Amino acid sequence: MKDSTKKYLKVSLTLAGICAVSALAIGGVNLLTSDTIKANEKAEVDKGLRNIYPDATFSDTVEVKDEKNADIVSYWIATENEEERGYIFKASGSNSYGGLTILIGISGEATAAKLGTIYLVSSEQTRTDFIDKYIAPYNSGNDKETAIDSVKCGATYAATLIQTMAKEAKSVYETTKGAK
Amino acid sequence: MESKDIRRSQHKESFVSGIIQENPLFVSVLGTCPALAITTTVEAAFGMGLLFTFVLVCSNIIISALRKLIPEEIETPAYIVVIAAFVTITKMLTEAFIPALYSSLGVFLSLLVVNCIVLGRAEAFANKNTVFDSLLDGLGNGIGYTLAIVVIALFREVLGAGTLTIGAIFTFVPKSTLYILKDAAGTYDYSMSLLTNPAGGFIVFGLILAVIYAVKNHKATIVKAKARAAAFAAAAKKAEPVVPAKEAVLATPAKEVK
Repeated sequence: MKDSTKKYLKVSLTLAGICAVSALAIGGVNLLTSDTIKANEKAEVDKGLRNIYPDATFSDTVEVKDEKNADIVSYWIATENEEERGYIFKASGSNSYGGLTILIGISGEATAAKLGTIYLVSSEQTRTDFIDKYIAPYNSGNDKETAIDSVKCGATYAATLIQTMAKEAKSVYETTKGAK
Repeated sequence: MESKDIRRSQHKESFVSGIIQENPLFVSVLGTCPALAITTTVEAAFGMGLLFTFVLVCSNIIISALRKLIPEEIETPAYIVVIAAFVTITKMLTEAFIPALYSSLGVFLSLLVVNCIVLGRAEAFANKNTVFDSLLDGLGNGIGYTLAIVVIALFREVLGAGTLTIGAIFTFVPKSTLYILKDAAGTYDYSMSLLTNPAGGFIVFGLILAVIYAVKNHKATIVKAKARAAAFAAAAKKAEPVVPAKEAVLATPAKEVK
C-alpha cells in the first residue's frame, strides 16, 4: 500500500472513529433524557392550558396540518360546565433569531374570533428575556386586540413571529369553527 | 525530587493562570458574545459558567487523551466534533434536568460549539499537554470565565433591575428576591433599565475592563518608577567622588597651612 493511501486511510478512519464514538455518546444521553424532556414539555403545556382557562376541562389534542398556517401544531377545546369557553392553539415556529413555542387562547364566534391569553412554552431565541415584553401587550386588557395589528417593539427578535402565530391561530380557529 | 516540584508548580500554573492572570474574558477578551447576552441575571450567568466549565473540562480531557492519535491534518475538525458532542450532551441534560436554565440561555448554549475559548484551549493547550494538566487548565479557565460573567451579571442585575433574585432558574433553591435599588411596593425605583439591555452589557463590560487596565497600568507605573529610582541611585553612586582610603590620607604629607 502506498504511503499516501495509508495516510488518507488513517485520517479518514480517525475522524470516522471520533464521529462514531460521539454519536454513540449523544445517542446514549438522548435515550436517558428524552422521556424527561417530553414529560417537562407536557407539564409546561398543561401549566399553560391551566393559565389560559383555569377552571376548564380540555379535549384531547387535535393535530393541525395546514400549509397556509404552518406554525400551528395542534389545539384543545376548553369547556366549562359543559359550555365551550374557547380553543387553545399550540404554535411552534422559528425565525432567524431561533425557535419559539407558544399557546394561544382564542374564543368567540367564527366570524369574530377574539384573541385570549398567550403563554410561552419554550424558547430558543437569542433574546429570550425580551419575549415576555412582546407577549405582554396581547395579555393586557387594553390593547389586546390592537396588539396583533401593531407590533410596537420595532419588529425585531420574536415580535413578528408571535404576531404571525397569533394571526395563524385566528385563521385556523375561524376555519375550524366555521366548518362546525 | 526537583522534577516533582517542577511538575507540581506546572500543575498549579495550569490551574491558576486561567482564573486571574490569563482570564479568558477580562484579559484575553474572548467569548464576549455569550458574556454580554446572558449576563442579565446572576443565576443565568452562573448556570452558563457551570455548563461552560463542564464542556471545557470534558473536551480538554478527551482532546489531550487523543492528542497522539489525531493526525495534524484533521486536528480542527476532530476538535469541533468532540466539542459539539459535549455541547449536545450538555444541552440535553440541561433541557431534561434544569429546564428553566435551558430556556433562559436560549441559543447561546448551542453556540458553545463555536466558542473561541473552548476551541482555543484545545488548540493552544490540550493538544500539547497531559490529560491532568489539560483538566486543570479547563477547570481554571472555566472558573475564571464563570467569575467574570458573574461579576458582569451582578452589576447588570443590581443596577439594571434594582433587585437580586435567586431561585428563579435553579428551582431547587427557595426563590427569594432582594430589593436593592427599588422596593417591592414600588414607592421608589432607582434602577437603570438600560443596563439590562444589550447596550448596557457593553457599557458594564467596558467599564470593568477600564478599571482592570487602570489598576494594571497603575501597578506597571509604580514598578517602572521604582526601577527608575533604583537606576538613578546606582548612577549617582557611580558618579560620587572617590573618597581616599584612610591609610593613603595618612601617608600623604599634610599641606602647610598658611
